[in-house]
Amino acid sequence: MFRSTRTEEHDDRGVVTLELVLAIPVLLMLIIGTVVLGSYLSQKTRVTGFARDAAREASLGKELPTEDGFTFTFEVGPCPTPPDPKESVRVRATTTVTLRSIPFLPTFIPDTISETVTMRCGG
Amino acid sequence: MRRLTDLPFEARNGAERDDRGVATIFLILAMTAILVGAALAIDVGRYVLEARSAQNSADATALAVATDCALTGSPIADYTPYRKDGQSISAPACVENSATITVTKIIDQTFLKQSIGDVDRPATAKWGTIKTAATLPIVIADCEFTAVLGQTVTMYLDDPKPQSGCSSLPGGFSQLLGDGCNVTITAGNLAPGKTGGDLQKDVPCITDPNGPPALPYPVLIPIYNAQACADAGCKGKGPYLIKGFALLNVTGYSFNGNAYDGSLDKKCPDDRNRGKYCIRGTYENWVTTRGTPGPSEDFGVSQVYLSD
Repeated sequence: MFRSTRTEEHDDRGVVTLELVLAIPVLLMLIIGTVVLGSYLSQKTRVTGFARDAAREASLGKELPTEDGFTFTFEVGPCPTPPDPKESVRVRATTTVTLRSIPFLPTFIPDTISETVTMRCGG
Repeated sequence: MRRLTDLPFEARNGAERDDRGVATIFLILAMTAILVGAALAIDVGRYVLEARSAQNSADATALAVATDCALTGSPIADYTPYRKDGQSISAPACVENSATITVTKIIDQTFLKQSIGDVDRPATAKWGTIKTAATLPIVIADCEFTAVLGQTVTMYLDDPKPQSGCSSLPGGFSQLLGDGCNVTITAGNLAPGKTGGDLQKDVPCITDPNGPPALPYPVLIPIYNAQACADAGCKGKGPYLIKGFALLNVTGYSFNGNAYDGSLDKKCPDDRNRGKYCIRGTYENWVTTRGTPGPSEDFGVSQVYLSD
């Protein structure tokens, strides 16, 4: 009687451990996935912001800004000097994605993020 | 320990079952919280991104619309390049020197809701005349500015025989006291004049081959009140009461045989012996980023800026 109870207890604990072992990958995927996707969106927002700033500078006839980890290139432009209000300039900002891999999933996040902003010259 | 093992079997078994139930409820609650948290983090992140993108498009479109409004009086261009796929804009219009554009993007297929609706981001760009600007140290009488935009004129420095009916004063243009290209002029203020200066040295922005780009290029030129000047007896030496700014798209200049370029030769087309310093150009409607916005008389030069 005593013995059988103890055996039951042991079985139960084993189940809990097994459940934990099964749940940990899912939990890890969820938590790390959230961090990775959140970081991706945050980087994308930053790139969008820098693309806008760079396009604004370019539309005013100034040099493209420099920012650590970001590269800025002209897709259209630069504006003629002095800026011609009939022309447009398009600037692309690019950065490298720092966090890409989610455990147990194939890497589907691109390795670079880039964003373009078009602005009228001289505006 | 002893007491525990002494408990009847039923009671202990019951206690175990209770524990397992708590664990399951806890797990369900925890998983829900984690899932909702994850979904919220990603949805909010996406919303912030879309809002930022919409604001960029709104700014760019508003500036483009305002530029067109300033140049032509109505929004004429195709503004699709200034926004992203999936964004829509409010109808562009020129209303009282400002253009407001709202960019709308529908955000759907989020984790938490089927659709969290639109993200709307407005931007207002204004245009107007220039109050203060750093310009070339030359000035033109308002009667010399024919106000016919697009017309080509040849102007002479301190022209003794005015060419366009500006009788009270020497016509053409006059020189301002200044240093190189960097004389700062404010509309409504008096600008001190300079007589007998060598424009060729004073205007390196025109004569320096390494400085300005090739002709034609637009030069912002202050316009002064000729009548006020004549009443004060300024006679080609100032001071000049500045009314506003015009834009002369310079196509040529000739300075005393030493420096010349573009549509003008070594000598000015000087059939009436008017002068040895001349500038030729076209008055144009223009949008510039130079100077600060302000009230001044409108000679066709506008400034476009985001107001909020």
